[in-house]
Amino acid sequence: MERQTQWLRGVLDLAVLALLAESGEDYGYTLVRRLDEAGLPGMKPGTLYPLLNRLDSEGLVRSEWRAGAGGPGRKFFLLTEQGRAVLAEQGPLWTEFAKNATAVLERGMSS
Amino acid sequence: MSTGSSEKYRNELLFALRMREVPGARIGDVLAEVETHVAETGQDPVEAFGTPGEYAARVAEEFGAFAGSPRRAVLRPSVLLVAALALCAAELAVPAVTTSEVTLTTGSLVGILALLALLVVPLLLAMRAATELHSVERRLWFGLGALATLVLAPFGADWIERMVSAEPVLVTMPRWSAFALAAVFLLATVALLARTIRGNRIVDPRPGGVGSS
Repeated sequence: MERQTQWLRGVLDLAVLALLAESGEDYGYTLVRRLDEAGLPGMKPGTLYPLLNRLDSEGLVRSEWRAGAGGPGRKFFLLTEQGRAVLAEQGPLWTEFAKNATAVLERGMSS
Repeated sequence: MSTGSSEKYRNELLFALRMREVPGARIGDVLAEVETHVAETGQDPVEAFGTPGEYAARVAEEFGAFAGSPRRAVLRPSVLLVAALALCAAELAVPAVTTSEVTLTTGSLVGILALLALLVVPLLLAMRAATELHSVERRLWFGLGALATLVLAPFGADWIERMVSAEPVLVTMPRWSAFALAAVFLLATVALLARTIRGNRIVDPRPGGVGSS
């Protein structure tokens, strides 16, 4: 699990941008859950929230607090045009990198 | 997750963020994020976010190395300037109570600077006592060290002042001038303190949230 968490850290910002591109907006707790459901488990809120705020300060996402229905307010994160552009530019680079890494591992495992 | 331990975590995190000079607006945001996450999931805050010190260090990384060290909270220029202004006010006002003329010498200025420098030691020890969350024994020792050095600091400054010759006299002023100048220093101290406090006010960003300090 520790190793998987390290892998996830390398792609976490792009994964979060991708999840927000799918849904348009989301908040911290459900993003942790969605990462988990997508087969990327082990992400702690203590890592995710600072990352979301860094993306916010870089202008890749926008955040706003909204009143909760009977519960505490929720901080929603929305993908910006700049965030979408970064995902479009960096996403293919990561998939290429991951494909190459997978090919190296598969060759090693089958030899 | 009990309300008591959640409150304790909040208070310790607030303190740790303050010690790392994270801006007040950001602190309000971080506390609200932690509170809403814990309320929604029922998770233990330490399990979700790490210890208050660890999480504060991670949040402070956003602001670069400047916010990385709790020691800088004590040694920042605004804190030292407030202390220097207050000491100057005391140096002028105290003799003005008993004498008709107040004399400032090189020795008295060196004494102020020495006291300011020596007061950094109890401040740092007090900060270590306040941020030591795991060992009661260490907290006690740091606290006693802070108290001892606080008591010894004026004696040390006085000794240094005596070592420096009382001459030359820099300025002699009548009692009323000394009081007036002390009042100016005191007003500057209060204004600087008020500015620092106002600029670092923590506000709950949630709809209907209230400001807190």
